[in-house]
Amino acid sequence: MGRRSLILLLALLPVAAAAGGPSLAGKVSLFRRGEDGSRERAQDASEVLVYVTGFEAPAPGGLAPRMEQRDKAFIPAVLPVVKGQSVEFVNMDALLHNVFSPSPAAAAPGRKMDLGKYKGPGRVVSYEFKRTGLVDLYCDIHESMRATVVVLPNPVFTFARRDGSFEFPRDLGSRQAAQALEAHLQQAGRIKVFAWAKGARAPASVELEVKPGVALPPLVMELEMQPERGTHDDKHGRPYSTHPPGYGE
Amino acid sequence: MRIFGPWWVVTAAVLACVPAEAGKRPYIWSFGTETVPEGVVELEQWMWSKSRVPASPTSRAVNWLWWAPVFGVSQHLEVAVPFQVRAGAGRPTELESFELDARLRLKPRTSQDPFQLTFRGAWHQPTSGGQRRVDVNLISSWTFDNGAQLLLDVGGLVAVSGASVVGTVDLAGSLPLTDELRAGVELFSEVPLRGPAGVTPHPFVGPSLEWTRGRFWVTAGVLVGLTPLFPQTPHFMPRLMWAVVL
Repeated sequence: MGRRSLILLLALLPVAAAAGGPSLAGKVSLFRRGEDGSRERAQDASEVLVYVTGFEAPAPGGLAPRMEQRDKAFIPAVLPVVKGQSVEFVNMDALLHNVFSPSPAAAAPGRKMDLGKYKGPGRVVSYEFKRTGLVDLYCDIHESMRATVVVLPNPVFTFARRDGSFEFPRDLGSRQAAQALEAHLQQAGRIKVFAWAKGARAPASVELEVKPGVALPPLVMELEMQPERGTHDDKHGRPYSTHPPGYGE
Repeated sequence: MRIFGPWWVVTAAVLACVPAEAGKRPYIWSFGTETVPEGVVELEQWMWSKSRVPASPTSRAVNWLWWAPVFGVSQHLEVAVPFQVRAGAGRPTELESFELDARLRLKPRTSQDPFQLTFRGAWHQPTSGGQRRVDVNLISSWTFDNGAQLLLDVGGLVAVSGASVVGTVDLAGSLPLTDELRAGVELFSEVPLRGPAGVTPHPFVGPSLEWTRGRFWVTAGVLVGLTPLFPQTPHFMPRLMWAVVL
């Protein structure tokens, strides 16, 4: 075992220890709806984000989540964050890029998220997400660039495995997230578990009754992706086709 | 107001355009704490007037047209290069002044902190008499989760010759009515600190309405002078402002 592997193992020990408490596991079946109305089961469900709502908990400390603008694409295309976290948008292209969002969860009422135009490579602009919800992101210069920041109330989230299965707290990325889930599961009450992927018409969800000391049943969820919508408007609400040549460059 | 032509035509044309983005000026007097996004250029124009002072039989109404490109230089800084045309007061219409106007936000434009602080500094260069002066403002705002905002703007107009210093205080509040419409109210006063003897403060209060759509924002309002209490104060100072993002 190399030194890096040992460090990784030690880092995961607290999560594994927390995994001794109550757990929440299940499987999401992902289907894709074709343009012709056909419905096909996806072989890879690793783009499905699974998260739990019903309580708030802070984000784990450490590095700020990052989203790169690279080769005229947002990477990653889906970024889950906890409410109150700032995301670093890093322009890795030697081009001007912009980040804007028409989503209500992106900014205060009457305001819109617009990070302006900034050129890379390496330029970083941060933005704090203060409201829970789906925040669709676009570039005002390059129509093909699109991404979604999923702003969640707590750090209890993970991407499903290829086969759609997930297991909390084992799959959680931090000890704080595992502790937050454990604390919540130890209280009697109801929780709601969601599964969502970019392109889904709406998240799939399951509501559960939580009783202290009683194991939760495995969750079964089904999620359907719609054919990708081809166009969206620029930040001024106009089609990109109205941009003059060289717009924003 | 004849020199400004049929301004209702311009207003109607602006209102008729459909798309628009973040409005940034809910008040007609204070510049507020918002700045244009980095890399963006906005063309901004105001028409405004000062009515005559009832207590001064020789005073007459004056009208101005203010026009400027506004450059979003960085996440912290915007710079405008305005010029102003004056008409009325029994004088021919004339180019009154040029300015260089910089607004520096302490926190970046992308910051969503409720408290924001912006410093404004402007050089005012008259072209037809009048005094060269420096305008300074310290503007602070607090924005609540529901989008409502309180603002305090304290500033001064300082003649370079030192002959006059006029302090300004602006207390304002605004509330979003819809995603595109915001209503505001301003309490504004000029306070002579140095200059001719016997000049009293000029306090005003009045409403404003901001409408934002796609590339345009429009703000209109009128400050009403507290003339019964301060007779040297003009009755009205209406202002109509609009801007288009290039």
